[in-house]
Amino acid sequence: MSETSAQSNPYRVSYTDFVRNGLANLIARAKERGLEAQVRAATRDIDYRLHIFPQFGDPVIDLSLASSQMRIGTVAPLVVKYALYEDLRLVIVSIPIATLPHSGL
Amino acid sequence: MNQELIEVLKHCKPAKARQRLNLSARDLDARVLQLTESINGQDESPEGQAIIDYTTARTYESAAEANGTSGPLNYPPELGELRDWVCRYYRAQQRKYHTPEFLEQSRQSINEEEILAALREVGARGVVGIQDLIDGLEEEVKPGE
Repeated sequence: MSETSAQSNPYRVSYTDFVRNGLANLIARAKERGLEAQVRAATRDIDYRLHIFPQFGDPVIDLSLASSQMRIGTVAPLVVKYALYEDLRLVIVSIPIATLPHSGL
Repeated sequence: MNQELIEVLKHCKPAKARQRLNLSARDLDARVLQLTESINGQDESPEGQAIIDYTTARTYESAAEANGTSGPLNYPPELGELRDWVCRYYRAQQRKYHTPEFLEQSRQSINEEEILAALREVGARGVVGIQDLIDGLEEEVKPGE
């Protein structure tokens, strides 16, 4: 569960328990509807981008800490909102990962 | 590794080999940048994926060299350009979903206090990833959680 093998990732990425539980439920729902592979692939892609290219999301607001922003990124069928702290090389996902409308989820 | 690079390694002292490899990497970067220009605007092309893979590998190298340091990474200019291109490429793919209304709704739904609380939580207990969920090794989700 904790990040142990990410020594050379440019950014550390952390998810709150709330987000992790929501994602587990989302994957379970996708499994029931035959969309598990699609959701898992999108989840993997989002996690990869957050570790390597966290600037991929569109900026939404500047946060009060220096060099920090909320961004939003979409890898269909998932949408992720995250805080990017450039000075800390840290990404935090604290808002549950959502699905696109009409995604069947 | 191509034959030319193997020959370079065979005939050079370590420092010289590294210098030549760096030059080769710069040449390759220049070629990749030319290629990126030619595929701008294309959606999810194999060439685009190849550039992402190359940029990822170069980024890992830079991150490994900076391992243990803090603060933003300083990338060589050509790598910085490639990284910018990759992010633009990704943003182009999601543009169809990110309408002005969608972005405005997202902006309004953000509560900065909650974001700061999450940052404090990471400070207290460290970074928590989702590799277990990606791998499908998640524990059964307990009702009510």
